[in-house]
Amino acid sequence: MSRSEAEVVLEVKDLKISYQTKQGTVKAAEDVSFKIHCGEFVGLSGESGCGKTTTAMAIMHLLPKEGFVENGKILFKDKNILDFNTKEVQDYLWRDVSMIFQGAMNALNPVHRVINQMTTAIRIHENITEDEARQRSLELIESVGIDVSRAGAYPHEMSGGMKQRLMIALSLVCHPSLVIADEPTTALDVMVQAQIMELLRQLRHRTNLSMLLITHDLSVIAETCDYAIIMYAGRITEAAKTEQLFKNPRHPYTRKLISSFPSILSDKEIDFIPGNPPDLINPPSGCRFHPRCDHAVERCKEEQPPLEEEECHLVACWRWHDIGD
Amino acid sequence: MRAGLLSSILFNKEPTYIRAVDGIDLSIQRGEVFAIAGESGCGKTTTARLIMGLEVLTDGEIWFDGVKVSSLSAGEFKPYRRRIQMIFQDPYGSLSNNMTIGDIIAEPLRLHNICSSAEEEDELIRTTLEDVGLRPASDFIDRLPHELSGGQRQRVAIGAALVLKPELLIADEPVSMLDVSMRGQIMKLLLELRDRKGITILIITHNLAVAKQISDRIAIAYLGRIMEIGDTKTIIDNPKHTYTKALLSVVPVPDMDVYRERILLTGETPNPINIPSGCRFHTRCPFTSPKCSVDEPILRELSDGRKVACFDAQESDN
Repeated sequence: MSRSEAEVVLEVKDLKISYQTKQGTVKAAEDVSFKIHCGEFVGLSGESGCGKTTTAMAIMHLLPKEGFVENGKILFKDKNILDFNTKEVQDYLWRDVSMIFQGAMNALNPVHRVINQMTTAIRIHENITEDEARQRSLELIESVGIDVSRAGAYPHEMSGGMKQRLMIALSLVCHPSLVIADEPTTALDVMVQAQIMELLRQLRHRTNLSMLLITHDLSVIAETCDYAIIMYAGRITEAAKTEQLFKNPRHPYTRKLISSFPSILSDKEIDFIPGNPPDLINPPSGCRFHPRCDHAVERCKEEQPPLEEEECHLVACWRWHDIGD
Repeated sequence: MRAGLLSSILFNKEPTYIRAVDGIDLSIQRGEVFAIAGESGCGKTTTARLIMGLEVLTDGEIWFDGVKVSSLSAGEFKPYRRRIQMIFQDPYGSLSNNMTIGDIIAEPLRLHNICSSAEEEDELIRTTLEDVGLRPASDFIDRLPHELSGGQRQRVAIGAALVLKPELLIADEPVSMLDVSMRGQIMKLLLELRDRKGITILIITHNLAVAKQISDRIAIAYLGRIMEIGDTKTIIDNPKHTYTKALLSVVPVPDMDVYRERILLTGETPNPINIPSGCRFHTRCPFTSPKCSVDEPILRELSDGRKVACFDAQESDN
């Protein structure tokens, strides 16, 4: 089935989010539009200040008080969640869409056994008995690779990897359609990271769970996601099926980013993008990447390139056709 | 002529032994970039802190430039603090927010009474900032850390470490907290400093891809001991210890055209309070034999010059 034929679980349309700060208005996200289909793992990547976490927070109705949505819609199964009242938000959170936060293993309540934290979470959202909730929790704990004998443990008795698995289980307790994972493997050891990525791959292949995986690490996206979106300075610069993106990166930023990633499998020269991340209060004119781009011309400084699609591959760059290999 | 800088470190803590570093032997050659790589609990950071004199040895020796620094008193060790400097992982936490960039660079000079005049100090600050790529220096001297990006702050940290003209620079995860597109800037800077000033660099990292790009030699550590040590490219392209093989088989790569057979180890690194008998890796090793739970293999040199602590690897080397 092609990507466009599968059912759409989440659609973000023309999202514009800003933060009000003492120094000025931070243009954190602008013209952000994308879709997540049923069963699809979408990777959202970029560096500091690119807007990926802001976008995720908006989808979870968790923007801080300084943040405000200036424009756009977030449609969960055709309903705009930005219009939800309190009750609708409560129903939505955790049942429809749940989240695994960065450093989530530190989010567990230290004075409660992990099984109880899970049953509590279920019973807040669903009217089932304690026994039913317990049964479901044990199944989930087992499905993420934790031995059920550990279900009665306290968080401090578990390793970092086990806690992260538990956070994944916790995100699945109400059988949501979509899970947002914010840097789920950062801060984990190499081998534990590999185990968690394997778990995510199994979830992807064995269930019809959809996931929005946010990470700065392109190699994690390469190994776990169907579709990849790259953001820079609050805007989407490129989006395509993961394989396409890595085989034929079109945007100069994507190309430089991939080139800046060292690999144990190749003898790459050290590469980097000169300069510093952009100021989002006063972002560069025209294309926000132009000050750091090797291929920038006059037009790039004056006009912001729109996101254009060609063969299911989206790029926001005036010159991508001209730039050879 | 090459001078060996360090050797033999063993560390134990009373009363319950947490053997953080449990029999590490290594020598770092002047002018080389040496990486100690491994996961948490492997002893890499403790080793760095021992070299810096920030931890106390339980057993063993540390030699620096022909002198046994591990048996010096605190006062006798002080001059060595100038010759060995360290930079840390967190560019946001390692610089004092109340000091200007100029003062941060000047602080070590003032502590060691290096300069005899304000002009001399100003000149040193200026050249140091330019050496680390913060040009023009006048743009940065009066700024505060929060006005700079992570990459710029890390340059300042390197500058503050360099201003005393150390011979050995220990970099503990110097780029892990930086944006990927900025990491190369710092890695290139470190290599330039080695090339231009002959500084020896010891880099502590969990990131094998970074180690491959920047280091000449590497030691792979697990639970306080070295499993494999030698030329970086040799080891990463063709690992011989199963632990090294496993790590390299699962490190994600930004390339989809690659097929690798993954050796996915189960569980996690055991607690250093309970180090397994025999080869400490045997509890997770997929290729273990009875001997492995009884005897501990020592590092032995293979025909290609690297050393491995594994019975199987040693036997297969013919």
